[in-house]
Amino acid sequence: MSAAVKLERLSKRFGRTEALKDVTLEVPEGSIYALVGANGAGKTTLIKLLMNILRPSEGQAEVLGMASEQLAGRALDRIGYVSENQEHPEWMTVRQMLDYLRPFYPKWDRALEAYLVDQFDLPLDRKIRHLSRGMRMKAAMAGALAFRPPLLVLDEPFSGLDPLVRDELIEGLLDRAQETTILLSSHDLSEIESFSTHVGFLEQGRVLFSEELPALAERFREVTVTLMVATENRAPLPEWLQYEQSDAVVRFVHRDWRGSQSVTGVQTVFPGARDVTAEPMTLRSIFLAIARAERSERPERGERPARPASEERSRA
Amino acid sequence: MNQVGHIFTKDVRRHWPEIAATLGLTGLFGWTMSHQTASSLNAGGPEYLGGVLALAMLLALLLPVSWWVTITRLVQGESLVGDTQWWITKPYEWGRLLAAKILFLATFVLAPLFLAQLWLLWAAGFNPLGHWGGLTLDVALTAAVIVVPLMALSTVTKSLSRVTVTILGVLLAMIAGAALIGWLHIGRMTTSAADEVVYPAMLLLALAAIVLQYARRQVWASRGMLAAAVVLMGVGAACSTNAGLIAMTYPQNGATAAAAVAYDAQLPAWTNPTAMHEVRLMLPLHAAGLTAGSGVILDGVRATVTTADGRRWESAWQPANGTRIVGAEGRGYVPVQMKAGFYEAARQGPVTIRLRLAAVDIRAGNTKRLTMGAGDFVVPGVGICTPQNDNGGRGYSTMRCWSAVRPPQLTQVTGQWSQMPCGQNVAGAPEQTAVGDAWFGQLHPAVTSGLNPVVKMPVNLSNPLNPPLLAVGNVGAAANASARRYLCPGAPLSFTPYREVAKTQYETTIADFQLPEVKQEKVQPFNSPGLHVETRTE
Repeated sequence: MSAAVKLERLSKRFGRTEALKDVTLEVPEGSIYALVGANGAGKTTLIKLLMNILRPSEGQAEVLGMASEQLAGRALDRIGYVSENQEHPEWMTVRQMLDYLRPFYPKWDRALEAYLVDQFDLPLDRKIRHLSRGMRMKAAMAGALAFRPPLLVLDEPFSGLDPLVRDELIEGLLDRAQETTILLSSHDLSEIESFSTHVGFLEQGRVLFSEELPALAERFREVTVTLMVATENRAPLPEWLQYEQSDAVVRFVHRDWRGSQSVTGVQTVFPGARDVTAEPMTLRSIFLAIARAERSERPERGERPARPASEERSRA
Repeated sequence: MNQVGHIFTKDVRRHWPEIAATLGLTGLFGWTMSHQTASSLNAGGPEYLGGVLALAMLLALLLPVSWWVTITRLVQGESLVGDTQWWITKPYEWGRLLAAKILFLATFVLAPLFLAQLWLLWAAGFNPLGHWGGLTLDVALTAAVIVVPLMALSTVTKSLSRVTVTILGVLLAMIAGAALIGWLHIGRMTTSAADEVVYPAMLLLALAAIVLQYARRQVWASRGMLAAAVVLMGVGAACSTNAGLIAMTYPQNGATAAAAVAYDAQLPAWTNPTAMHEVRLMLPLHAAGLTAGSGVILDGVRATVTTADGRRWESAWQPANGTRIVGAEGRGYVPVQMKAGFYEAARQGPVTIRLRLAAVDIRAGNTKRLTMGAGDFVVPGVGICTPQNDNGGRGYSTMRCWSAVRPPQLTQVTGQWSQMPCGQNVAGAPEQTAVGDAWFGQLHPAVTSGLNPVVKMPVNLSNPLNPPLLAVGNVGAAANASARRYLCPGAPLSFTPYREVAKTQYETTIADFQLPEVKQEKVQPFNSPGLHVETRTE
């Protein structure tokens, strides 16, 4: 499967602050790729680099086969973009906005536009400045979907929306998922877990992992080892996260679970193990385990925390 | 519809209040200003004229303000600052976006101004179609001086308030800079030679900032360019008194000089005090070798004074106030300003004064002779002139001339005065012996970037006086030599244009010169440009 988005050692610095460090990842064509990470992890910076809103300090990004720095003018008629922070043409009505956008896109589908207006229940004659936050996002989404873009880039599209609006937007997205690659960023894991096919995890400007969601779910297990008798602490293996031992019970997150092979590995460390159970984890649990492990390791590496995203924006 | 038209249409829909305001103000400006032109051409007018004229002046201020708001809001409709704008992720082509903005400004700012100016020319009695080239240049200059800088500022700022603050900041910096440079340059000759490089460079920087912003949105680089333009202006102003630049502008090339300028011992030198404990010494000069129809304009002077005991003082280049020495009999006074302390010390004995004069050799073109009309009359090469009624209604004391788009070539106008009010002497016959003259126009007339393309010039003919009496500061004698005179219909007038032949330097040395006593009265040399002394005897 070819990549709709490809990043190679992409870095972005704002002064002395490194917002992104050597980011390498691929967003496969046809995927719904969720870029997750805490606030200030660098998600918005990464998306702005992809959209050529910012320019990278090092490395390169390719979007739909084109270097991101070449992305301008007509090249943007294949990419739909919606962001929580985007300024909208407040003085226009929804109808005027759609009318205005239409000629920019040769592949604009008026039937789809009408369908989206109906699906999102958009008030066509209301000015955008008078729309609620949810309605604005839906109007923006209609404008980004109506030309059937091969790539849809969404920066925190569901942030601050009520569940009803969120579901409507997700439904609208999933309707189009067959014909487009979707890259979206979010810090709310529960909202993207249900429909994403791929996930990339950014922490302090670095990619901790980027892979298919089922593979990730398969790889992570919450392991509980029950020992015959309480023993002294053993040194955990590198792939064990959040290791803790209490009397005869040992718990940890295994980040590279390979079934019986991993069970054997556990029993090698704990020869007196009476029972080894491995439970599947939610994306949220995986995210938390990795984030905590990363943060506990950071002081050992002598790293300083990165600048928050809000500051990045103000500097930009 | 292509993208340019599409964006233009959107902007028209969005900015209709600004369009209405700009068009309304432009139309009103044209209407009121045409009244002003008509009223100045022909004295009198309707009772409401005073209000109309005041409105015209107010509109001359409001119109640029409306442009400022329109340009800023138009450009910032697709803001080029920041990274959250809606439009930057849409398939806008920057060249077409810029073209749409330019089309808007051409349609709703420059074209209405052009039409208003056509109307003003027509109202002033000119054939507007005969001046469309000049008008186009006038509008282009307005674009360069007002529209481009405002547009450039709008591209690097986020809101109208920030543009306003920036403009105020730049204006304050310019005022402070001008005050500082003015203070440093007090009493020094300035040359505009650097402006020929500085102003185009500033325009290019502003244009480059606009293009860079639209093409790449490099805000800080563009801001740097605009800051460089402001700095460049300051550097240009600071260099305006540079001796090297002056020497380059006025080359020392005696072979091509039209005359030999020298001290005129027939006329007395005189002084008057100035502020800052300085003395202005007025030295009479004549130009040997000048033929009829040729002359010299003195732009600057640099003096070296050496006393008998070997003390030496050298001035910087000082302004010579455009003193004109014209024709074989031409004379003029050149001012030399020096510290009062040195002057008084140097007066104790004879001194040697060496003068270097930055001058322009001029030559007369064909003289046009015509008679004064009772109303408007056309002067070829100049424009339209009209006599100005004096307040007593007894005749005309002077006249005014109007040019289209640019001032006329530097012109000497002469006219014969009448001693009696018009109509009271025999058939208004002019007094044959009293000829007044005046100068107006420019050696290098350039299209101005003003709002009104009608260039107004008062022509105040000199009331002939006895030059030596006035020159020595004998004001009482001057008053007796002058009488109230009238410029009546039928009076012969002549208009002689002068053109530059070359810029050059003259040198002359005045040996064994006794500096005159410092007089306290302030008097003017007899050939001050456009001097009109009117003595009321009735």
